[in-house]
This record gives sequence, structure tokens and C-alpha cells, in this order.
Amino acid sequence: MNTDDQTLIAYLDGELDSQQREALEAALQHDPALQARLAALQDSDERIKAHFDAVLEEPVPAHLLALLEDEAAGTSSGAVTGQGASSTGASWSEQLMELLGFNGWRGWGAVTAALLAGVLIGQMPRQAADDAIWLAGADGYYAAAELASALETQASGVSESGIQVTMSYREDGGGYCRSFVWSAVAQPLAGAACRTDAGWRMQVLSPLAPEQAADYRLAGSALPPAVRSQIEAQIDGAPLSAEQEQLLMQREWR
Amino acid sequence: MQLARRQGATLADVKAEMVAALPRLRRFARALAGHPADADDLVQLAMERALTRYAQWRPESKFESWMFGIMRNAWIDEIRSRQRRGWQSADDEDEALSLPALDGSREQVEAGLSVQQAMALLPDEQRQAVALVLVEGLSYKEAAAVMDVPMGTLTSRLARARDALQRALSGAGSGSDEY
Repeated sequence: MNTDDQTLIAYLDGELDSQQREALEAALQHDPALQARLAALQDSDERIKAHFDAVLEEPVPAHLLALLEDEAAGTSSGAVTGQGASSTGASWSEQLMELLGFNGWRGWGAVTAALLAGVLIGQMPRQAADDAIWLAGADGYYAAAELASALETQASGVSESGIQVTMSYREDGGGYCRSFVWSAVAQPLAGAACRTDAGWRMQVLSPLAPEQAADYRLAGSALPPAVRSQIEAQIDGAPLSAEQEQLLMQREWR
Repeated sequence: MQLARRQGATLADVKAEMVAALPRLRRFARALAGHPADADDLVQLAMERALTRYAQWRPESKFESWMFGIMRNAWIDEIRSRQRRGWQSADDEDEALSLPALDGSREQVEAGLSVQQAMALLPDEQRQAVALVLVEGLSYKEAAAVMDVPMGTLTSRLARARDALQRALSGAGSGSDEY
């Protein structure tokens, strides 16, 4: 029984060679007990995986990121390793954004939108609940009331209550997304969000210097690198025209 | 970042890998330690150790495997020191169960609790094997290397662990009579 179990488990783990796999699959066809055992093991495996996979969607606690920040910003360690050149004056979140987005760093694919949001949330002053910019949802972060309403109904290029939607685009998978700049908050932000059934899901957020935030009448060209590279990775075709945008607003972005 | 320019890793290389690996490191730690606060303490300890010996990572080897090895050793140290102190968990009983920060639906919570409890029942070496292979998806060869045991030891630990987990979960899963 134990030998069978080990074979079934190796099968589930993808560790059997093709000959062993075929032999097991042949045996399974005529052995309902073996089939049931395989199904039971597979079921518990899937529950375990799903349980721990949920950790991936949690924001990374700020104190863990701070370990990397101290090292990067610390004058002595920068000098000792000769890695300090780019760290002068840039905040950790700027460095992080540069690291993640701008350098085309190969780790980009492994960093989810949820992590990015978590990273930045960890860096920013705690917000009172009633003026929250984003809310945690089942699978990421969603724009809260004020931002969500701007994304839903505000034409690109118009600035209202400190929120400017800079452009709208269609994403590769078929949905619609918009980039924005929010300057009327303690920490001005730029970002992009995509419309899902659950609301406007944050794709990327990046902090802005206040003087940058004041200067956003120009087209999206000046968006921070992290936001630009997110859009570049996601966009299908050209940005939407004002007419297309109007139509989509009427259709609630469907 | 280019890969093949230096032999050893720089501190910047290790930090860049670490940022991307953090969610997985936290997942692995949760599987080892169970309690979320213990798990994040473990991640922190492993990060600190890795940053002081960053040059030991070879960019041609998998970063996660290197970190998992460091974290596993840190966890073993932690268990030993707890045994000397006489097992004291980080927090009170109520918080001793990991609740993923998701929607918290009843179904999800119940499934989560029983997985957490089932994992807690395993001997530590079996839990390590499950964390590496099932949770983190390492091959048997990679997992055996991280745990520094022969393949046969790994596979028999995995088989015992999976059998125990399957029993625990099927018992708990159907037990809606037990609140």
C-alpha cells in the first residue's frame, strides 16, 4: 500500500518517467480502489496548495521591506559595496519602482499587481477609512469611492477634485483600463486600474513628487516609469479616443 | 540586469531577487511555521542572514532554493531554542491560526483552518518536505538538496505526510457536525 502511495504521489508531483506514468495510468483503468485513492490524495493536495497560495496575495508587511530599504539607503553599506550610486535622494519606493519597472528587470513577471499595491501601501501614511484610495478585495486592490467614480465617469484630460484620468486603453485580455494622477492627497500618486465586475482593480501605483503632480496637464508622457511600463505591457492597440470613451461610459465599461 | 558578468552575486542582485521572491518566501514560511507572526519573523531572520552572506548565492542556482535552505536552517534553530525554553507560541491561542487576508467567507475560513491544523499535526521534517514539494513546487531533487537528505528519505517523508494530511483533511472536511 505504501509503495502504491509513493507511486501515486510521485505521479501527482510529476516525478514519474514516461514509462512509469504509462504503467500507472494503465493500472488505474482497471482498479477503482487505486482511482479513489488517487482522487483523495489529489483533493487534499489541492486544498493545501490553495490554502498557502492565498499568502501570495497578501500585502508584504512593511517591516520586511524596510530591511531592504535600510540596506539600500544606508550610507555605509552603499559605500562598502559600491552599489550606492543610484540610491542618493531617491525614496525606497522610487528605487523599487525603478527596479521593478524601468530597468526591464527580468523579475517583473513574478511581481503581481497585488504585491505592488501592497508594497506601496506599506510605504504610505495610513489613511483614514473614509478617504481611502483603495480597498483590499478578494483578488487584489480596488479603487475606493472617489477614485472609482472618477474612473467610471470622468473624461480623460479633465481634472476634477484633484483627480485627473490621463487616458483609457483596452487591455490585451479584452477589458478596459485607465491611468490616472491623483494630486489632492498627502502623497500624490499615479497609477492604472482595470474595470472588472468587482470594480476598478489596481494594476500599478507609483508615488509622485508634488511638483510632478502639479504638472500633469500634458499628455500621459510624463507618467512615472512603473506606470508607463505597466501600460506598455498591457495595452492592446492605441489609447481609446474621446468618442470611444464616451460610449464605454454609457455602457459602464462593458 | 545582466546575468553573466560576475562570479558571485552582488548585494543589489540579492535584494532584487528578494523583492520578487518575498511573496513566495512568506508562503514557504507560513507552511513551515503556521502562525503568521511566527512565519514573518522567520522570513525576517532568513532575509537578515541572506543579506549578510549575499556573496554565497551563485546566480546560476535558483534564488528561492538558496533562501529556502537558509529559512529551513533558521526554523530548525528556532525550534531548538523553543524546546530549550519550553514551547511558547508567539501569541495567544485565538490568533494561532492563519487566516488568509482574503474575503474571509465561511467556506474559505473553514477550509483554511483545517489545512492549518492538519499541517500543524505533522512532524517537522515531514512538514518541510510538504512545504518544499507541494506548496513551493520544487522537484524531488531540489527539495532533497535543500533538506540535505537522500531522495529516498524525502520520498518516504512525503508519502507519510501526504497520507496523514489526506486523513486529517477528509475527516475535518466532512465534519460539519463539529462547529
